[in-house]
Amino acid sequence: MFGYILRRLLYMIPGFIGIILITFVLSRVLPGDPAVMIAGEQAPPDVIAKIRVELGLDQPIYIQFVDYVKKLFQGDFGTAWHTGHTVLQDFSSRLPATVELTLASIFIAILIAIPVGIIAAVKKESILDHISRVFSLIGACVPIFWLGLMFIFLFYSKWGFFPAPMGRISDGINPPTAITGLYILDSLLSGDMIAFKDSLMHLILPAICLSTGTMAIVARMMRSSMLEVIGQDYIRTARAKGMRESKVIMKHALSNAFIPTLTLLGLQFGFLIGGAVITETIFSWPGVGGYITDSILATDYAPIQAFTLMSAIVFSIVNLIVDVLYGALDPRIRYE
Amino acid sequence: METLLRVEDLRTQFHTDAGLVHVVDGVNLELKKGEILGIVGESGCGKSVTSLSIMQLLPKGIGKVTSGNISLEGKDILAMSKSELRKMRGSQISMIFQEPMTSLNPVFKVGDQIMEAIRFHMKLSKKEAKSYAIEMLTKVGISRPESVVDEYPHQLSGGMRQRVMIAIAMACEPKILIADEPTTALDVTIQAQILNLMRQLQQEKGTSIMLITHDLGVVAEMCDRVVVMYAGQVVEETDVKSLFKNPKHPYTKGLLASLPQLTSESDRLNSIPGQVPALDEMPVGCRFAPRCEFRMSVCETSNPALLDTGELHNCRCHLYQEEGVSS
Repeated sequence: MFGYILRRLLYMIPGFIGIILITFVLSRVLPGDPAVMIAGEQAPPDVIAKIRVELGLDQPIYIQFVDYVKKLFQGDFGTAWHTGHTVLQDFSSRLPATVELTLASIFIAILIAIPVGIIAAVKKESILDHISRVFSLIGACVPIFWLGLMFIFLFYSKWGFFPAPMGRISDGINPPTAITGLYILDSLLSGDMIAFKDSLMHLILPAICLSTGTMAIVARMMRSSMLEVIGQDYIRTARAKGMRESKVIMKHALSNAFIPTLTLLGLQFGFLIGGAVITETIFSWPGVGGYITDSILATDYAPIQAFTLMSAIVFSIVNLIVDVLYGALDPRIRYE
Repeated sequence: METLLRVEDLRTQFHTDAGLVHVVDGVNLELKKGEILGIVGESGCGKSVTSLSIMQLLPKGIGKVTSGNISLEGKDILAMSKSELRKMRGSQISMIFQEPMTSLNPVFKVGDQIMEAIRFHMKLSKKEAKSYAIEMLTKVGISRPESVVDEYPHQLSGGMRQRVMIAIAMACEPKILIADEPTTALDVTIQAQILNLMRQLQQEKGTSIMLITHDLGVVAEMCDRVVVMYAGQVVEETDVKSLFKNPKHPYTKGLLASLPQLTSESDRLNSIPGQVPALDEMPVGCRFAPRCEFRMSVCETSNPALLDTGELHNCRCHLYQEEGVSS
């Protein structure tokens, strides 16, 4: 088991090298000169040339790449010139917000999609099944940016159920003492109920908005794998033993049907990281997503490359965890 | 002998692509205490559906008992509430199935699957249930039961899994064991072991067994009485000796004639011509008439009743209708 995890971690390295190479080349090939952006459109050519030398942009591209990789190994992800901080500084102040948003979305998606999928399968072709089908279709089709704007329009401007979509907490309220960096968790841990309530209200809309796509797909997946399992012989065996129907479904069927859904949840993580970029922009959520949007608009290479690499690392690790969980859920899967 | 289970005029309906059809159409059965009753017939003749009707385990929304009576020691199974049914399943009537490979839940330990039934019906503690599960595994002839109890189904062979299924079924000492083709998926040497095990447990506990099979060899080996089913109806019912010595229904005769004979000169196997009628195209008259070599004109217009032709030998055939009436 330990050997398997180690081997999987080693296999990730070539993948990461590929990602580093591709993001590096793409960001260099795309039009837009950072030196011009830093100095301003009207800057004299000699100033721009000087900045290019400072940034190392006058060097051949392969030397730039070697420099970049060398720095990566020293933990230096470069400096985001549009904020003036190192990428690491920017990330550490913004990452908790993104983690909170992503975790909340995954949580909401699981909380709603799994029961909906189970009910839709157990009550197949009933009105509940049809309703869940329609909502899944809507959830899978509606783009995040449209849904986000509709949420803000209805629940904030029109009905005022939720606070203004500006950040993680209202201006007049102090953020909770930083423990994990997640406001919800920190405010609970420090017993700060005012901050908890306010940050929860700020979190709900963007988290639901980000979770809809995942929710729809997971619900459908859960339904279909549940339907398949319910038709299996061992479900009939469980019923023939006299088991209560709720136990047949929740124990015998779910423990088998959850395995494919888990795969999907792992894969959806990549989608959520991507979706966070859009959601954070719409809700002015001070996370990495909004920061990356700004970096793209400012042709700021370093944060973009760092973000891509980070997404790849997170995605790979989440999927490694998923694979390890398989072994726990399904005794037929064993890793050596 | 005392009758344990009585099925009267059972009709079970299924939703199919061809519409609503009666898969089981007027079946009468009696299972006596301590006997092994064989139910024989081709695939699709309704034998499995009859057993699922008794257990009330028909696929929801697809199959339904539309009329008839099923009573277990005088209690009407069709009128039982959900919780009464649950108490009956596994403790009064239990079941083993054709496919041992898929009948056990792959993600739970063998022991947990045995203990589940024990704990529910016998209200034992976890520890007691586990030692009882090990005892059951020993009884069904599994060597090293202490370790098998903590193994998963995929670690066991087909024969061992069927033994585990029998252990689950017999754990709560049911009055009736319904075995739906319990040896069909196993190879021949294992078949004999499983059949022996079933008979041994039956003799120890006095359990009645309803053995559903299409294998006449198994019937000859195991059963006291036999019911032959064709196209959703019982066509012949008698004790096992008369069935093999003196079969009456042309279908039964055909079945017996299709058994390969070592002494026969011919190198071709006999078979009954034609096919089982489709469920939605049942003949008006006798359901076997289109394939019957003794067909008469009356066979095509009226379906004969199941009548006693003497010595508790029931047969559904116009050839014996008068005998039946007279006896």
